[in-house]
Amino acid sequence: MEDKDLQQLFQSFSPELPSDTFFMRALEANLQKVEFIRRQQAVARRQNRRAVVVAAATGFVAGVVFMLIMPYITSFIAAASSQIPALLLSLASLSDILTVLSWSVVGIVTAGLSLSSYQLAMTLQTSVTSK
Amino acid sequence: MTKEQFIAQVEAIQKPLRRFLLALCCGDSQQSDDIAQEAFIKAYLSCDTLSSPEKFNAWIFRIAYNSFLDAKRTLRHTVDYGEASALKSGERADGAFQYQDLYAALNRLPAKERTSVLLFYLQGYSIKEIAEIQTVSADAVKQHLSRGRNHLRALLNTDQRHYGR
Repeated sequence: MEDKDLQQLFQSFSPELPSDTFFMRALEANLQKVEFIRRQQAVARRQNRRAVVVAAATGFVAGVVFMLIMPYITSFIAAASSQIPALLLSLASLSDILTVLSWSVVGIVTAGLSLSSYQLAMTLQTSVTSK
Repeated sequence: MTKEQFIAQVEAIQKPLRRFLLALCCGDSQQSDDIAQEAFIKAYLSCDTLSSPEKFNAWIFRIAYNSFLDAKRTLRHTVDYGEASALKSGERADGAFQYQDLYAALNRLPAKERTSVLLFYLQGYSIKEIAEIQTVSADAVKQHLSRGRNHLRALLNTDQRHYGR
């Protein structure tokens, strides 16, 4: 078989394909599904962005509030530690430990508030969207 | 690219692409159409990455070729094509068996050689274009084409001698 025979063979290659109309209809149906998923993803992205903004704002506000009340907390700790017997721990180290603990609690509470507000914002948006 | 523009491009290319995939899948029209559908959907999902609309056809063929390779990797053949092709139809006019010999011969070629031969002879792409589609060098394409051509000629000549044509 010569090369030109191969060329002729493939030039005359015209197999019967399944229906074009059916193929294009199936493709358009699939593309519509793709469009639907894209729209859903866009909605989810918008909802997530809003929830993150709410969470960030909550964290900021909580942080500012705790910063404002921190002097009162530290002075309370200082007063409380002066009541504890000196035998247990030195005054300075106990006060330091309690200060560190109180900052840790502030951090955990702030993070918890941010996370809760994110989840609440997502839940509210999802319930509004589903209605 | 809008959905309407995409569909317009698809309508122009779908027949040659499906014919190419049918030959690539050695006559399995169901598999070839499934791969074609998958290729068009992948193309639609990434149509924004296409730099110039003129390259749409070559781009689609590249996606289709990669989809074919993915399908080949995951597909488990339950019937050996060689056995099925040995069952000759006595009715030469039967359209379903018209290209049986060609499909049997193509099936014996490795995927890269088969693709190179089909893109060159069936679609009329140049070596450079085939290299872009297969993401290989031009020299590699020349090698695949040369081997594929020789291999295919040998197989088709053997078939002709075997069946006394």
